[in-house]
Amino acid sequence: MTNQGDVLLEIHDLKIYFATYEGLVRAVDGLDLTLRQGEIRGLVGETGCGKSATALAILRLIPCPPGRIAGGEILFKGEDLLLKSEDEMRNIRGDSISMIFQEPASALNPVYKVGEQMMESLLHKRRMKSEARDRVLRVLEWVGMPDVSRIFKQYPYELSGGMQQRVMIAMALLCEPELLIADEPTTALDMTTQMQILELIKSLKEKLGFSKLLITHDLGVAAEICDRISVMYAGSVVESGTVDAIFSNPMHPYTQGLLKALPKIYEDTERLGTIPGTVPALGSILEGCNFSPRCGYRKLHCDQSKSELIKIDEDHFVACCLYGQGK
Amino acid sequence: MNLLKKYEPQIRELKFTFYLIRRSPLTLLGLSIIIALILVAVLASFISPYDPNSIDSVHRLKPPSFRHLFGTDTLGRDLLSRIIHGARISLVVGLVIVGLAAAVGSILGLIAGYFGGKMGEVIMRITDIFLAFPYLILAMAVTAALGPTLMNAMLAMAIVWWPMYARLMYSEVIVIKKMLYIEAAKSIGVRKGRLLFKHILPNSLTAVLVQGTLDFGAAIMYSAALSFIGLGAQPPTPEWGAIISDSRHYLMFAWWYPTFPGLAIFITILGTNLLGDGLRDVLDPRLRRLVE
Amino acid sequence: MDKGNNFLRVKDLKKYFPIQGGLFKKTIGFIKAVDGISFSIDQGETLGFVGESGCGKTTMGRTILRLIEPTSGTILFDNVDITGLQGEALREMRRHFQMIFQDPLSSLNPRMIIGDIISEPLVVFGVGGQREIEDRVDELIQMVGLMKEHKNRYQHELSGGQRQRVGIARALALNPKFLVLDEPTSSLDVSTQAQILNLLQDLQKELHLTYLFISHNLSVVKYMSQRITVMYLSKIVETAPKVEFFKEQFHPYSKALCSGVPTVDRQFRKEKVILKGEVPSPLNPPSGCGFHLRCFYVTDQCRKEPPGLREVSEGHWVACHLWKN
Repeated sequence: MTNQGDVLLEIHDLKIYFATYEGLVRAVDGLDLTLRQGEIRGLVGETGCGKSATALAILRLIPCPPGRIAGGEILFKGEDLLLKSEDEMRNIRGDSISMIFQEPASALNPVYKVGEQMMESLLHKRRMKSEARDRVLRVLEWVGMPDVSRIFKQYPYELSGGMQQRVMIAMALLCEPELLIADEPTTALDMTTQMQILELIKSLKEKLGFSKLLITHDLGVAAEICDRISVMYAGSVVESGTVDAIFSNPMHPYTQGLLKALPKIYEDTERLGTIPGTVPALGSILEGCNFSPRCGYRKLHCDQSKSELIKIDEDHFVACCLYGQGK
Repeated sequence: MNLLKKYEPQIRELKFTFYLIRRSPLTLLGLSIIIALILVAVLASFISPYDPNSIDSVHRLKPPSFRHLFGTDTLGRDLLSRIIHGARISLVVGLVIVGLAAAVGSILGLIAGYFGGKMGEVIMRITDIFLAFPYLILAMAVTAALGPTLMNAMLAMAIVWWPMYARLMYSEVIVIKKMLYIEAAKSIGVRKGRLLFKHILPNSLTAVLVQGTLDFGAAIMYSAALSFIGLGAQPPTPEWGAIISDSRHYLMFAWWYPTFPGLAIFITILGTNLLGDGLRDVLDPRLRRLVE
Repeated sequence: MDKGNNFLRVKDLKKYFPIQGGLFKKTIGFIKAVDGISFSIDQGETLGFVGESGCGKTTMGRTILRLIEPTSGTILFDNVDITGLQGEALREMRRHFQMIFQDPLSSLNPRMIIGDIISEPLVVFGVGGQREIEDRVDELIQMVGLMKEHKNRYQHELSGGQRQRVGIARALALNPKFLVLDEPTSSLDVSTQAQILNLLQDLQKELHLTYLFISHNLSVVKYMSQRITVMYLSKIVETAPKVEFFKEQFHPYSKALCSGVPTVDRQFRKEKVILKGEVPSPLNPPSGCGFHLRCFYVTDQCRKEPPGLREVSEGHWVACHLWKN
């Protein structure tokens, strides 16, 4: 049994490659990540950085082919998920590890009532029907649904976006998972609904004490509810640490660039900072640091070898040769 | 050289399409069959060992041998040669029927879908009426009315087939009409004519292409059916259905007689179906982007 | 009359969509997508429109450009009444106002190459021969930060940011004076968004453009606009110059919106006003003030009477019964 503060999920040097028309695409190329019991860790990055692939890999949902896990390990409570069989993974999915997706409308089956869908996963675990029903109603209450018995009998299309997302969260919580993975859970929602859902996630964390991996491109959202953040660029983590550490003292040039590019409501920015160039095409492989073509501090050394995550502080790591030598 | 540069983007797309086709063995098989069919049809005169119409009463109903790979028919004609020439006929039949039906049907569907209103309603109700009848029965009736020749059979089938394309095009246009790029085109002042032919039509052609490929095989099969009952190709035309029709009396003792033309039809339809299904996936824009 | 003031004026614009039902498809009701909107923008200025889904801001943008027929109201563009224009006259006016759409993926014809997409407005209006058109396309490509080789690509071969640049180039082809930007960066990453927003600002200065900037992202709207207008359920609930607005919001909805913007810097985080309930469906709007069901300060009057827009301080208007001058 794990206690608060213990490491729940550990990813070492994860590599996920895809075979495409243009050649080999290294979606994830040497990712390291740690998640502790009871914390919310944000995995932040822009399109194409590999964050969604990472999330799918944890649950072994990457289609192979054309993808393949080319290396690394994903340790969940000390056991490597990449070595487990499909049957073992099936037991883990929805049970110890659950996932919430971006578009609640497409994740819910439109031809089944909400209650039915939710009971389905419980009935698979050989629970009694009445027991399952009670549990579903209770979890729906947890996520703040008004009038749960009515919602139970409704179809997904009868619910609004915010309510659908709550149902998704409820479904993910049914079996009391230890780890919840959320892939852009609020991107498709309105601002005010997003606020409600974020509050909900925060309060649920207090109440139920699960751990969560939040995948998002929205730095603000990450700052609001995460305890720790990992910033991803082109397939690997470039900076990692507590929210305060990263946002008040960003060390990696990419993180700095991102924060300068973000319009802030409490500031009167004259001009947004931009990172020159564009996100590298998904296939390109560089000998050295992936970010160096766009980096203002580029040195010769940067193009020759990649930097490992270097410890700056107790809980602040950067993968940049500005702060020490990489391997 | 300039031509190559001008069509560079289209060539890129074509290359990618071939890549996708290569990845699907079944689609590749379908494509190969169709290419083989076309080659056989075009080169019929060259590869056919005998004249398909040369009668040899001595060697009637001979089983397959080295001299006659597919055996001979009731008049001593080499079956292989007849089937090879039959491929030429089938190719033409398929192209003409599908071509006519698709052309007429698509234009009517385009008009009905875009303009809607009374005209659209009228067109769609006419298609409903046609589609309410079993296809073959209607085709038979029209052919019989026109007179039993292969030409009339093709015409009849095209007449009965266009409503399918009208309906297909109509549903495509309805969806495309609402797309953002159509609205964008209107906002930059594009007039109706250009909107129809430069924006809506090119985006709806994929569906027609896929359907046309599938229908190509079906058209050949229906044409064979009509010939079988005597309403289509008349003797001595070596149309596959007509050959099977001839073989009716000799089924018991000349197994090769109906089998080989039957196989030819079967393989052709298999090819068009595999290719059509594969094309549907390959040309689907979402699936393409996924792979990219 | 100052040159350029009130370059665009909208008076009491309404767009109702009829709901048809019953056996004979009779009109049994209306969806009031836009219900009495009035505002004006000076030349060279950016007016920001903020609101959530269903508030009608996108419909309003389209109606102003006459992509949708207004039900009633007036649209004055540079003192020309464009509300009733039809046919060729309307088409001619289209050269002067253009739209930049939200989703560049679906607003560009997937079967046209980029060069053709950008040159289409020029071709349609017969601006010059092939040489002139080619030159203009090259000029536009450079203006928006694309490269010559992009001309020969299809839209799906470009990145999101590049596609949006194509949309901008297309919109600028005919030298319009007014642009409606409908969530132009909502589908883009943070770094790409910054590039596009900076580009839009540069173009505005260079070409003296007037912008109507529609977005649900308050921070972006703040960066781009001089004046902010908040919409809720088909009506304007608050409008003010930017500095005024962010100093203090008067409408409870605006307050909630501003408080809820996720902030990166913890020290600037405000007390969040979490609204209960959801945005009501425009099919079934509440009586009286559209916001009353979710408002913490609701009174009886709010339930019965819809509030009108009142000027509470210099240039700062609110539609709320709590503020009576």
